Amino acid sequence: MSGVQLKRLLVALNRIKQHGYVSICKQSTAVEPKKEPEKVEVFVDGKSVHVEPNTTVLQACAVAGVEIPRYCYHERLSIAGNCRMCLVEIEKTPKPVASCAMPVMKGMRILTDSPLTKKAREGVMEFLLVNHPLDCPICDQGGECDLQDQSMAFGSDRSRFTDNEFSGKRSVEDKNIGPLVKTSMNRCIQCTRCIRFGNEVAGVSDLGSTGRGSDMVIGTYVERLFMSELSGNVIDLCPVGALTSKPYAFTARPWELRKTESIDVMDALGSNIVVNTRGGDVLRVIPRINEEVNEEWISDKTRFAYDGLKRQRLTAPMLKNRDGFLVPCDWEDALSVVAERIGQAESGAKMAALAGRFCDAEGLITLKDFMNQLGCETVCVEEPFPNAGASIDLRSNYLFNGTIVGIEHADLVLLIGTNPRYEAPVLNARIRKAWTHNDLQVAVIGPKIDLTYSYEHLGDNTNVINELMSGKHAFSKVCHHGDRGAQLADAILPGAAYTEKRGIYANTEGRAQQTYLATTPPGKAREDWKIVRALAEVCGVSLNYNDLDGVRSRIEQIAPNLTRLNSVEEANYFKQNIELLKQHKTSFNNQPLVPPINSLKEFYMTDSISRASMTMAKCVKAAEQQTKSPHQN
Amino acid sequence: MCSRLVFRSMQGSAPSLVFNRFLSLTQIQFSAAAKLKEKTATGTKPEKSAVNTEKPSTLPTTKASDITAEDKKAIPPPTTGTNDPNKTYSEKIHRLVDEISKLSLVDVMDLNELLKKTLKIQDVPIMASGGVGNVAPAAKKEEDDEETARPTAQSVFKVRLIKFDDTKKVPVIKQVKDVVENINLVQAKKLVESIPQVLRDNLSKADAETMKAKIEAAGVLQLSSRHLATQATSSPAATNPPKAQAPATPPPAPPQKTKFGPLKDEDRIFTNLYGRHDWHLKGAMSRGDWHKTKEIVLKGSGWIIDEVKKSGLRGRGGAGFPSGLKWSFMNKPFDGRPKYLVINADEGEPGTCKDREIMRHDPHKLLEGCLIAGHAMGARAAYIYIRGEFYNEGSNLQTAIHEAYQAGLLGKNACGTGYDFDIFVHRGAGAYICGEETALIESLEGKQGKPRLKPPFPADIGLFGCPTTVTNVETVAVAPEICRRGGDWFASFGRERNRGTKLFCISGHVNNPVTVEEEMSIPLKELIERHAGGVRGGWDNLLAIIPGGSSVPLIPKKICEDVLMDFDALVAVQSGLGTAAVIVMDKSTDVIKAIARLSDFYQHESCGQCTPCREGTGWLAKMMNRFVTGNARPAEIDMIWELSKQIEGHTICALGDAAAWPVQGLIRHFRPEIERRMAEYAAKHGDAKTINASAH
Repeated sequence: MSGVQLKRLLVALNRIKQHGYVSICKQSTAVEPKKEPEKVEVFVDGKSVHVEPNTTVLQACAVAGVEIPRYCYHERLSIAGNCRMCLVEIEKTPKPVASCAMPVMKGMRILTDSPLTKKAREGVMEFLLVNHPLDCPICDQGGECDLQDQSMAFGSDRSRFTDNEFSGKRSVEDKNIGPLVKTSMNRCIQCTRCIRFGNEVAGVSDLGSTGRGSDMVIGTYVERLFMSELSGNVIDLCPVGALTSKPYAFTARPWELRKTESIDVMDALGSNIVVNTRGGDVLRVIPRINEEVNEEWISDKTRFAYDGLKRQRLTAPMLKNRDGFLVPCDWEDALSVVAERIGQAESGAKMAALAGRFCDAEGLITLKDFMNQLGCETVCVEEPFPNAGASIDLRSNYLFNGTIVGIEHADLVLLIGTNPRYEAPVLNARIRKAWTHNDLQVAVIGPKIDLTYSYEHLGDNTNVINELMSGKHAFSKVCHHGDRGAQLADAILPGAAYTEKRGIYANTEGRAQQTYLATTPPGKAREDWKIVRALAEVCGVSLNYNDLDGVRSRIEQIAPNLTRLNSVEEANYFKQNIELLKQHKTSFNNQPLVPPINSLKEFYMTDSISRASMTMAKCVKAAEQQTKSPHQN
Repeated sequence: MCSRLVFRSMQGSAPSLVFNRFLSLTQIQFSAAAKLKEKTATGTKPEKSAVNTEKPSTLPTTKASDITAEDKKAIPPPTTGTNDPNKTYSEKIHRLVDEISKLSLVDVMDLNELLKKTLKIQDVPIMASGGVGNVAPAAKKEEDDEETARPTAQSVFKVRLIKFDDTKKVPVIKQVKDVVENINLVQAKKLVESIPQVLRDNLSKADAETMKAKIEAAGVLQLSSRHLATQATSSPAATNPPKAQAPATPPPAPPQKTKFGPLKDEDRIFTNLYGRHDWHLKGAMSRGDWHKTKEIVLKGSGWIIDEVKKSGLRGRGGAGFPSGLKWSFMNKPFDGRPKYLVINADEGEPGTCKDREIMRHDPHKLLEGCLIAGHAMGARAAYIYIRGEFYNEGSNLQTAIHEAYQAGLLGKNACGTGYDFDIFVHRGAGAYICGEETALIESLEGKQGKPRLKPPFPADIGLFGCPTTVTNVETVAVAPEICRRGGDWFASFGRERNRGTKLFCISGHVNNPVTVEEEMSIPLKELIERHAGGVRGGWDNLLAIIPGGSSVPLIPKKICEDVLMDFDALVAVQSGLGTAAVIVMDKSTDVIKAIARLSDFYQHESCGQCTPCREGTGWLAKMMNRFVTGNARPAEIDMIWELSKQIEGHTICALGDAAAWPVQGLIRHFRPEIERRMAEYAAKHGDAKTINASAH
């Protein structure tokens, strides 16, 4: 099974009883049906639209199908109203108003195309460009730059910047805010989206503005690392080329890239991403909007660990020779050797299969079928799972049952032995969002950690999860990265990474999502299920599926929820499960609960891909240096 | 004829004017003229055998004047004129009248001007709406005294000591000393020995009663509390001419004030503006501060706000929003959040130096004002945000607060009213933008001083998320005096919509730069000549004047000749009253350089939050500095005008407007000068553009 990293994150959505006893419960149904407020009628360019009260003029225009140009406004951030690009004329007001901040009023007549509106936009565009460098040809934002696009659409057709001949444009020193985000502060238009993102979403107030007037500068005041695991999102937020991706710098233009919508597997959230490739290389990963999973954020590991997909890859099958060295070989040799070793095993009980964190459902089902047919029941994953009671047979035992969206409706979240900030940063941002807007209460069992929001600390040593049984016999490894595990292996059968195959992954809430092939697997690497299927063939075990559809219909037989893509199927049998759990009271002891990742430094390298990533290595270094810096928070 | 037309258009919105002056012979006033319905006064008047209480009588105006001849004049309204309702007028006249009555104030001024020119009418002041030539003879006579008043129902009491028990002379003297303020024991003795004597004048009925009771207790045998009511002889509506009256016949215009200023000493609110007296609590009390504050507070917030509304007070910080209305926004039902009064003492407008004079020389006026204004809006506390550079002012203010707390005037149960009110002083750090109300709130909350978006307005969500009103120091400091002397007294100064007295700060090329309290609507020329010793080198040496602090457009000498110093008159000449900081520039001034300096100032002080101001102020400053040398092309004058229009009205706060206006004013009035300089530069250096392109 995949999507397992957050198995200990139990979200209790019912109000906590007395002293913090929380069980795994269903989502609270406390959302009372509110009386629908009366809608307000407004006119956008004469067209009548009905919107809810308290929506802004800009939103009302969006409902009417008119898009208002904007820089500072972003729907997931607070309203700043400072770029003034969204000025529109409203009948009977003398001055144009900032549509992003103005609430609608009954009968308001909004003119988005009047001479006054056009003049205001043109004026603001001119002011924005007067100090903006003309370096579009060397700017990484080129092609996806709001300033570029909007100056084409709303700007003047000629320049009046005579003063540039006398005094030039403003120049601002570039800041070094870490190995991920490249700054080019001359291009900054002071929209403050990055500042607001840091303060509101990431919960890290490292970015701010200093100085005033035309000396106003965005930065960290003293040079320091932007200490956020979500820092890469400011690249997407920045409407101009002031904040761009450092690893991606000068590599490609957006129109050259092939975009493949996919799913991230670096953490258990299954963030929706777009993999940008050119000629078989993954050049960057950017988020894709999915309100139910990641909104439009992704973590830095998701965004930047892609260079690990190209390094230390196992591109050919390998076998250990007599001297104990792994040497490349053909698939036939490798499979026959592995089949031979499997045949040597006295019985299935002396074998075990262990699956890693990047395996897709197809590979896992094939492996399980294969092992079971050999008489082996010891099929497990790297990650420790509770094995008491019904163990992982019931989904309720490992799923994040409240669903991710459910956090926003929750009254209370209990975090047991986990640090979501580093284990699932985007999920943590969601908890922070609910904490900010819905007065969500958070309680933590485990060590005291900085989660970017306040919580009640309940203790640090209860409910230790049972240890996983172990026992290995013939050990072979299907993997795509030459990591520590690969060195121990007797045989290596190279597999495909998540950007190189179509595979189903379930995320922490049990949502099945599918990755798509963005690039081909390197060298002789093949998809996991195909390898196991071939191995089975060699071993003389018949698995009655031959293609992906076949595998998926097999999945549908035993785990139908995994084939219903993009939907969350609720876990069930809670009652029975609790009954079963009650028989295993001994499974709790008093060992302290320690989350696996506790610092930003540890966050960057957690798996074979991120360990192979140069970018992540730089991040680790930068985070390490920042901890030694005198400029702490 | 023309001025009568002007008057007509003004009259449409003008309520009856009341100019009541109850002036005592002393410089300092303690009278609080309360308006009472005289019938209630009659009905509730108690009578005691020991005391000769005269029944308040309703007297015809003439008689009332007799009685109060020593200090009061009541002027009967003119009753002449033709208001025969049956008279018919020609259609032509009707049409004319209709059209004229639809004109705006500015249009009427233009009409007035044109008529003057065409008909060659002399000596009619433009803004003198009453029309000197057209008032009835009776009214005209009165104008010589500057005492035009339209009587209204009013009850005022006078307490007179007639007889006392000789054996109890000492207690009586003591009591008299207590009751009659501002006299010492020796004076009180003299007063008592020279009976019959008027102890107090201009008292409301309630005040007179309490006072009488106090002195009687000390052993007075005969005391009279006399009613000094005056009664309107005719209702204002009856004297107003019907709207469609023939212009040919002079209408019986109600006396309207046509001459403003000079302010009499006894009408001054700020009696220690120059720091010649003690600013501490004792000194302040001797000048009348904290007098009857308790009574005012106990009259309730509705009464205070009504009185301020009646006074016509408009905010003194520059925008001129009606204060009574603004304060009344705070009177919403309590929703659990405390309300705050914030005093804007971040006086940073170049040329302005009025609030600092109040804070260093008359801090108790401000504190008392805080309590009264705070109570009017139900505020829990007041925060005085004082400009960081005002070190001595801040320390005087803090000392004054300390004194007031010691005396029980502030804090828990302030002034014994049962109302808890605290005042805190917060010092700024020297940013002009923190004088903008929402930036001030941000700064007070400990954030960067950057203006907030409105709506929501501070009255909904202000300081710490609570309802807040931000008010200028001067506005608040005049509130106690308005409450004590009555809104009508304050409204007796200045023109309609521009009432009251005002501190004017005159600086620049005058012989005697000064901050002076004057009546609103005083002619600019008179203000300068009377108080500032005239323009350096004589009036003819004047070049231009910035009439309201750096952010309003300048006006050239031609306009300065006859413009009145009030909100509406200055708006009519495309400038503004602002903070009434008059910056005078004589002919030695390089006016382009002066405005360029202001542009530099606004660039420096822009907060940088919103685009037009951040980028625009810098751009204006760069261009203005080139204009100083003439290193530009004449077409750029139109461009800078357009740029200033691109800033104005497009920003979050008014700083963008403030940066744009001086430049606009310069171009409006001194365009030839700018062009001349450019031509000069081009002649000297060849084409400006090529020179500079090669130089850089």
